[in-house]
Amino acid sequence: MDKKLKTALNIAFAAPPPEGKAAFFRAHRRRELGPGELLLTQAGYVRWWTWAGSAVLFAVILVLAAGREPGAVWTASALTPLLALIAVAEWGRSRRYGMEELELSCRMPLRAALLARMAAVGLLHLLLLGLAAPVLALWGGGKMLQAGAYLLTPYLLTTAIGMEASRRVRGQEGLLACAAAAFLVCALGMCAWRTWPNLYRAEKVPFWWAALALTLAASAFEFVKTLKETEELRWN
Amino acid sequence: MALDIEEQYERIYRYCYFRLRDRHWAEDVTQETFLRWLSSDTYRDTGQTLQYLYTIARNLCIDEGRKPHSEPLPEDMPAEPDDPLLSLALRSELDGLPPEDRELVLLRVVNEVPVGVLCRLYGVSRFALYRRLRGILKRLRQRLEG
Repeated sequence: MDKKLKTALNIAFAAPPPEGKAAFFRAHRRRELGPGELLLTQAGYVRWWTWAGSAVLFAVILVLAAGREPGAVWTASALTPLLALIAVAEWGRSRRYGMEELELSCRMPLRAALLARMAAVGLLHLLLLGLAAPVLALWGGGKMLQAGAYLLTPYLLTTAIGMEASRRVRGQEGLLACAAAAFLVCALGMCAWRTWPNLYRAEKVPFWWAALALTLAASAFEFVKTLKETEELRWN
Repeated sequence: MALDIEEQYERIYRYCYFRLRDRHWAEDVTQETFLRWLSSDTYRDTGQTLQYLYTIARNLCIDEGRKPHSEPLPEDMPAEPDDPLLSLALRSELDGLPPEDRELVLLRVVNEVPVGVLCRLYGVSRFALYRRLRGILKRLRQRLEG
């Protein structure tokens, strides 16, 4: 559309300025939640045992890893799927208890609430893993970033499998499926450490970066897919 | 994407003004639209705020239009056109358009309402909406050039 016509249309449709706009918005301002406030509000709805479980599990991972100093990072790496299990269990809570429909009818959209809760739990886990990485790198004799990749890869793999499983299997069985996935990844980590110790050598680090990128992409894909499912059904 | 509600106030007001042709009446209806939106308990923030606002405004304008209005409606246009001839010609062409076509031009071109919102508002497909709008603008351009 040419600019001249658009300008002319804007002039032709010009209306006298509204007089009561400022007064109206002073009197009737809708309170909007900022991202930080939304995160804090929704963090309050995350069950206490999610926080406590994460902290306890983090302590257990460190204690178990501390006892196996050469293989500290691998032990911790094999146990991080359990941390992911806690996050996935929180993620699928409304679906598991059949409360999705009710939460969809609330003023605060389920999608925003879920995102905020998962951001809160995810940030805590990231912080815990971030704290663990330098300690484990020190014990295991590797680099911090390398230790971070070893910790995050099984975590993200479990998250992706857990989200897929909880979407496919409804109700309490969904949680069982997630738990099975977490223990499977745990077992894989343990087996890998014993069967293929070369996997954790410095020259295999590029493989871990690739695996991290892949699991990150898979988690993001599952995350978006699950979020889309929290939208209202459109019938036409 | 967050919607700038204060900016939308002016656009909704313009929409009401062109339906009611009275600035005070249009402002009352605009404020009523926003009050209904703010007080709505059933509205869920599903990203359709704009559609919701225009639907309320349109329904209110229809209701107001049905009420008897004792005073003649003044047309207090404040426009200061760069090209008065073009503007006058355009205004007369716009007056000759069916009200629903005029409304579509106002919403899409002047108020810049997204096509998706307009499709849901009118219950038509994107293709139908584009075709209709293109036809109106083509006619306007031809008449202005001819």
